[in-house]
Amino acid sequence: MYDYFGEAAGNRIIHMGAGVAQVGDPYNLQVRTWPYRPAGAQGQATFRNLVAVLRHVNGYNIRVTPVVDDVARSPTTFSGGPPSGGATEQVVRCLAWIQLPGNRIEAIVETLTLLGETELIDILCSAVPIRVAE
Amino acid sequence: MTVAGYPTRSLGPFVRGVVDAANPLGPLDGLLRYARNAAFSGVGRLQARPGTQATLQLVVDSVSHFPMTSVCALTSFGDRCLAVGHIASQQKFFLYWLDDLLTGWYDVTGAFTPGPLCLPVATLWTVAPNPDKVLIAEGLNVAYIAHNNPAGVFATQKFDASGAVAVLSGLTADLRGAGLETTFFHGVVSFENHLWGWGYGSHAAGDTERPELLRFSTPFFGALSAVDNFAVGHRVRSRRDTITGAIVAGDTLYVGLNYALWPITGFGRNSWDKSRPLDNSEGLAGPYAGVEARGGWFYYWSHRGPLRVFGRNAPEPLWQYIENAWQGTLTDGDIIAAYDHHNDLVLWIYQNATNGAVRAIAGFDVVRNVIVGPDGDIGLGVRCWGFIPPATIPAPAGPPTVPVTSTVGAHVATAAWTPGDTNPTTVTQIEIRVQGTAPWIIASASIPSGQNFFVLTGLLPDTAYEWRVAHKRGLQFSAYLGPVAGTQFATGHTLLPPVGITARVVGYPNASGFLVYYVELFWVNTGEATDVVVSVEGPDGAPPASGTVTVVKTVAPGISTYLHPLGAAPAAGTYYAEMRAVQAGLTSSPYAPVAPIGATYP
Repeated sequence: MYDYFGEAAGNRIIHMGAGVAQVGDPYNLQVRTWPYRPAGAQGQATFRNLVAVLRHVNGYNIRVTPVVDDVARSPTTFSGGPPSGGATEQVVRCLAWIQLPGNRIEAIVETLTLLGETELIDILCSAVPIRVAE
Repeated sequence: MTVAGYPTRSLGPFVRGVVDAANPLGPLDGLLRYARNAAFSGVGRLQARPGTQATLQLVVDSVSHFPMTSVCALTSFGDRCLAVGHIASQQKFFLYWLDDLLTGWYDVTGAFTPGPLCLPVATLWTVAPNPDKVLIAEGLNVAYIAHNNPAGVFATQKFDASGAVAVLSGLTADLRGAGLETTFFHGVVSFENHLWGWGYGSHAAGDTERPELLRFSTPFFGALSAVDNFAVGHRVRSRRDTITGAIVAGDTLYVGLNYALWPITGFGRNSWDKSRPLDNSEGLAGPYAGVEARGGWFYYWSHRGPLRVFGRNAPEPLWQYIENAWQGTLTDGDIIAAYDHHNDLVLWIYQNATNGAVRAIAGFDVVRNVIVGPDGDIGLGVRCWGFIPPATIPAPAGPPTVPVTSTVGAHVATAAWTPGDTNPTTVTQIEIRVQGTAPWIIASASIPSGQNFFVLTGLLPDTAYEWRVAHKRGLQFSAYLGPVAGTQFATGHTLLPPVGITARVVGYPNASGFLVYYVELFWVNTGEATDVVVSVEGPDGAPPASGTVTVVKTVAPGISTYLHPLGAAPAAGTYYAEMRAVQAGLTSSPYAPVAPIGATYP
């Protein structure tokens, strides 16, 4: 709360830990998982979907990108307003359909705009093994 | 978790943080490959970290307002704080005396002037072309200020604020029995009520640099003398054993060398012990590369990467978590360690001098014992870090004013106000109720400083509401704004349309690896939380009229993207799209955008 930066190429004193915007270039939360191999190191599965579970207090705007066998596939974006029904926070499930076969999958989840406190609770993956080979 | 016969695997929660280089067949449960701009909260909550806000600006004088070109030091001082600015065009360092809340500045008499533009209280050094590092030690209302590269030119300064008028003077000491002479320490630190300075011998010929020499004063920041010193390291006058920095953490003064770390502990000058190094392999990269964190732990960056140590225990390397993150760091000595007290996070920040990129090369959560990061984006170049807790926390300066309610739909409305307090630590709480006697419901208690609006959602159609809003700082509230005319409104029967619609034609690989083309649409939902009907057609020779585009999909609430397939070899031309929000029992929104949006292939 009371931590400050001194600017390297300017004259400003910058307050850390305030709001969801920053001085200078914008920032976003980005995470990437390690590969998930539901059918083993040499197996094959059909990846059905990825679900990013988020908690937010003022709306969300995120993108979920599956990476199947090291190739980034089409992303899905999700957005919504602040929690409804008088709640001060809300948990949402952002389900991205994949429907692709492969050996392994990674998930990239990133916010496109930070609207308020945003928590990544979990990332889930549904996959049906085709050929299991540990 | 299992869903209806299909195995579903949880890849998180990611309570184990980040490793950026691992055997991908190893146990990686709960670990991430990277987590940029993340912080942990509570029990393993992985969140987007908070942002930053500008406070004061350091300028040369009240006439020209020439800005400093670098902020070189920042530290608490008494109930106030000190900053050092450097201006390249004038080749000068200036000292600034600021208040604890970073709202203004003091002159030499202690007269306060509100910011944001701040004037210097003194000139530290002239004919100084480079924004070198500056170290400040505090002792009994006196600040000792050292230029990290004095070169026998930039003398250590003493800012005495104990009298009615603050005075800046050179620090003098008798370090060779020839009377008081100017000193040129490379750095200073306050430890156990003594002033410590390093890197300087005396005015004796050839003695202006003693890389390994650490001197200390008499108690309570008294005189420095020739006999009170430690030669830290294994060699005398060796640049291999140069003291790179000295930082207090807990009850220990850690003295970092290029390749060693020496602790100094004791209960005063008669019991100080520096006889044994903790580490002869990794030292301290630079004077700003280490920081004290919670519980007296010392986190620091060596030429190998990050380490931590507590007391006189063996330093513990942390670099195995983030092997890739710091490779290619060119100048270790420029790394800045910062401790984010709110997020329990030690950050090591580095700005590439060649391309200007600023990176948090590592972040370590000291409570949950995990790495977050690497590679967060700080947003701008950082020269120094300072912890400046307030001496007192005042109530918000005033309540919000000028309420406005706009963009009212069937389920949403936007409340806006003019802030009565813009301090970064002030948040805003907004409450809403059905007009009349219904109880107030908190819609948000944590609207950050700098945000002067809030989208109220989950409202009933055709209903009269009112809201009120107040600032909050610590546990102190301002007066409420509302309910007044500007905070009262009635929802309607017509939905608001999606906004921020963009369209493009893009190719993505299918299961066989061949490109399939799509019209890809992105939009932002307004908070109405309804289905969105998407229409796409084309290619068309001319834009179709609004409301005539072929409906292709009804997208569920929350989702804000749609891929309309065109096949592997789509016809060239412009495809058009539009959409609207729909819900049974309510009037659908107008089509958006106002004219169908086009996306052209190829």
